[in-house]
This record gives sequence, C-alpha cells and structure tokens, in this order.
Amino acid sequence: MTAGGAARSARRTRGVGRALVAACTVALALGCASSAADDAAATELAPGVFMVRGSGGTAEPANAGRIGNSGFIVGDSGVIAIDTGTSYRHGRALLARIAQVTDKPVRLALITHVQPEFVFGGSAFRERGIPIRMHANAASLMASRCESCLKNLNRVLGSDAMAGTTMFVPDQVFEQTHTLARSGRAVRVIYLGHSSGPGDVAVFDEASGVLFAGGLLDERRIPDVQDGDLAAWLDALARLRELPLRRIVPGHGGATTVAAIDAQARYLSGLQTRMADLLNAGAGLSEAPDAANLPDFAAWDQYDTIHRRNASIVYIRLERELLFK
Amino acid sequence: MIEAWMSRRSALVWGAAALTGGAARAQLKSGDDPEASPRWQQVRGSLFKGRALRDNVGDVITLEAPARAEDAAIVPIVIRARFEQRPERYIKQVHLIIDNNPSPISAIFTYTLDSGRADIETRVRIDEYTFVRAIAETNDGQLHMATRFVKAAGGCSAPPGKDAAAAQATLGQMRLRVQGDAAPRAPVLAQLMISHPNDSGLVMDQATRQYTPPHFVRRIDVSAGGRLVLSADLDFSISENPNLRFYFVPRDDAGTLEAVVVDSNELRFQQTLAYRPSP
Repeated sequence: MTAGGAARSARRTRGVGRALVAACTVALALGCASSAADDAAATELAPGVFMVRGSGGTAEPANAGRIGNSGFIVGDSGVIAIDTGTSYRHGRALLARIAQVTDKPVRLALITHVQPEFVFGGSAFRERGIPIRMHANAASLMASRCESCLKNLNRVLGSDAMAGTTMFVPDQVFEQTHTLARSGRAVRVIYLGHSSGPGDVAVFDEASGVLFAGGLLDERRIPDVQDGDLAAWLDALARLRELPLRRIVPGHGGATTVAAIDAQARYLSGLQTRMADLLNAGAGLSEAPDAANLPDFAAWDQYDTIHRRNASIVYIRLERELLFK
Repeated sequence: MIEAWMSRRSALVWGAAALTGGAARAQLKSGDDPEASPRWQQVRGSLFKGRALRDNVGDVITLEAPARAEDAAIVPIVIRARFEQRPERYIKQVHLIIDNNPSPISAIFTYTLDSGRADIETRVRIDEYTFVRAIAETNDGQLHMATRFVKAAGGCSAPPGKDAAAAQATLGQMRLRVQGDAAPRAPVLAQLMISHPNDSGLVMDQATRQYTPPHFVRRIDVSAGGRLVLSADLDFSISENPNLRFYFVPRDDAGTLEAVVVDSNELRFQQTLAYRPSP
C-alpha cells in the first residue's frame, strides 16, 4: 500500500485513531494492510481495564473486518475478555494483546451481542479452552442467522483473513443481570431486556466505573436498529446513565462518556420522529431513505449506509403498527 | 387466466434453474448490457415472443429502484405511468420482471380506465445482483420497457427468527388507506397492506434445518364502487406483508373500495374501506 493509499484508507474508515494512522505510516514498508489490524493496541482506561479499538467503517479487506471494539478486565486471579473480534485470526490477536499485559489466565470470553465483528473470534478462544458466554437470546439469534453472516464475511474478506473461523455454540448461557467473580474482580453483566438486540448486554467494572456498552452504544457512529426495539433501547440507555460511569467503551468508536449516550438517544428519537412524520405525510417506502436526512448526525460513521437502512426499517415498523390500529 | 399464468410461471422456474450458473452469473456484476441477460432472453421468448419492444424511451412508464438496496428482503420498486388513463390511450398491463430471482416473473398488474393512473409501488425480494424490468402494454398493443440494475443480495441482514405463530395469528389482516381527500373523477392514491409471511419455500431455517413451505399471496383484485381498478397476479418475489400503493378514480358521491386477496393455499381475504370524495 502507498502512503496515499494509507491516507485514503484512513479517511474511508473515518473513525480510525491517530495512533493507528501513525502506526501505518511507520509500518508502510512492511505492508500496512496486513499488519495494521494485528497492531491495534490495548489502551488501559483504568487500572486493569483495557480497550482494543476497532477501525470503524464497514468490513472490507483493508481492515480485515476488525471494525468493532473489544477489551478485557484483569483481576487478581485472571482475565475476562469482552467480545472476541471478527475472525479466528482476530481472536488470536486479541489473546496476544492480553498476553502482552498480563500472564494471568483468561477465564472467560463474554460476547455482548451478535454482530459478526464481536462474535467470530470466539473460535480462537475456544481453541485455548476458554469458555464462551453469552445471553441465551443472543445464542438463539446467532444460531438462526450467523451461518449466513460467516459466509458473507468469507466472501467480503477472503478465506485467508477468515481462515480457521467457524460457527460455534456458547459454552455458557445466562438470562439475567449477574456479577462475575471468576477473575477475582466484581464485573457486572447487565441485561436490560431486548433493547439494541435480543440478548444484548453491557459489562460494568464496579471498581473503575468503566462500562463496556456492546451493542447498546456506538460513539459518533449510526447505531444499527435492525435487531433493536427503539423504545426499550431508549429506556435501557437511560438506565445505563444512572450507573456511576467514568468511561465507556462503545461497540464502535473511541472511549467516551455519558455525552455519547445522550447523543445516541437523540439520534434514536430523532429517527423515530422523522419516520413517523414521513409516514403520516403519505411518503412511500421508496422515498424514506432520501427523506430521512438528520443533518445533526450527518458526520457520523455509516450515515450514508446504516442510517438509510434504519430509515427503511423504522418506516416499515411504524407502517405495520398502522395495520393493527 | 390465473391457471395459465401459474403453469407458465412454473415452467419458467424450471427453465431458469436449468440455466447453468456460469452463463447466468457471468453478467451479474455489471449493469452494462440488459439485453445480454440470459434469463431475460428466456422470459422475453416466453411472454413476448416475436413482439417489438420499445426500450427505455421513458414516454410511457418509468421504473424507480435503488441502485443499491438497503435491505435485499424489502426493496421498494416504483413504476410510474407518464400519462393518465384515457379511452384514447391507456396502459392495460404491466409485467414486473426480476431477471435473477428464482422465479423472474414477479408480478403482472392489470389496469382499467378506472385506475386513473397505472402507477404502482410495491416491495420485492432480490436474491442477487439483477436487472429489474417493467414492461407496459398500452391499449394499441405496443410494449414499452423500463430497466434498472439493482445491487442487492441476501447476507447478514436476515431478521431474528420469524415468529411463525405470531405470523399465523395475524394472517390475512389487511388495511386500506386513501391518501388525502378523494376528489371525484381525479386519480386518488390508495394503499393496501396485507399481513402475510409470503413464504417463498426457498428459505431454510438455519436453526431447525427445515424449509418453510411456500405460502404467498398470488392474486389481488381491487374495485372501487364495484368497478375493477387493479388486478395483480403475484409471485413469491413480493416481500413479506405485501404492500401496494396504487391509484383509482372515485366516480360516485361516495363509495366503497374493496380488496379481495387469494393466497397460494387458496385462502381468501377481503377488506373494504368507505370513501367519500370531497366536493
């Protein structure tokens, strides 16, 4: 890849961190496209609490599909990994990041929600005998559609990037909010009902006040409403806001604060209002994506793609409510 | 007529399946040459053999479809007539063809003078990158085609496993809407929504490894004040919960819009809406 190519690639993925761009510049001679994703650094947000930032954007060969964030929490007796990455190779890279920071054993991999960039690295954790845990409803969703997601990823990213990646079922499922103590550190797994998706959870480290928001929150990126229930999602965001939050690791984007929760709540309600207005004004579905412009969010990642799809999805849901009025 | 169409449709499904992947797929990625589509040549031979076809002139119908679909399972398609229905010149029928779907002939819409305008907006499933075509037949027997290339493909967009029991509970529920005030003798926009899974029979449930049997809406007749305004012969390319936006001309002081829907299991559903044109 040329320097110009690296810059274009960085612009294309909008949210790429400055550190990653710098790493690319240094690594140019070595072939940035293959090494950049592996080199995503672990950032310590609080003592023992790490974030590994994804590139944002959409899955494409240049980012090896590693668009989502993951992280880990180091306790006295072990490590809990939060989300597993896009592929077997990505999962291995995340395990390598953990090994650079601590030699304590990884006790558990918790998957917060079922989007491919958070799920399929599970193959690497499985290989190490690390149990994979997710909500029962997330496990059902995964079984019902992730085979197609995996085929899709293979097609988009190529069989090399996806080598060793397989479908799996989790070793452990749960249904309610609970506290994990296996790392010797109190980590609360928070389930607020079907919000951003069925079985989506957030993970809260009590000691540091760091929240891993998973599918519930993105930072300066349009959240995907495909699996979400908007009203319940807004309720869930309000409840997360009541936690003693110090930092938040969103599903996509940079480490952030409660301001990101407020911004996303504004987006979700703004979307709902706009689509209800369009429907009431008699606009057809064909007009919905173009007419749904929300200028306040036009600079967010995936405004040109996910936002347009969100517009159609919300339009169809509101229309369906009309059918049963 | 329906039986004839259904058997022709079945023949086409098998014919299309017999095409080898290589020829059919070779031109999938490009929207350059609509005439090179082998499926289209097959459909054309079956439906319009030996007939002249005015291609993308744009003075009879236009076709709107997204170049890249937001959701391959629900792709909005709009066919617009360039003139109102008048005795001296009107559109009798419009075929909607999706070349690379398992069954390319997706819908046949039949209009009358009481349609007012031969417009339609509906939603379709699109399995692969494909040409979409609307072919209108005017009352002078001429054929007029509008073509669009649509990039859509199934993928990770499948919704959470459908609740078959919930779909069954609302099966056949319908709603008719008339947009704005109905003025007498001027075309009015109406919408028909049908709660129906419109299962194609081609989708495997990944969790159970079972195929859901085909069950889809195959015929819709809409009349206003007892006069037919729209008939639609439909196929499983139409998205779940079929939805049609169309025009009709209210001719009386007040009247009833009536929709009769028949599905592939011969279930029949009916819905009426009273309308009163504004003076």
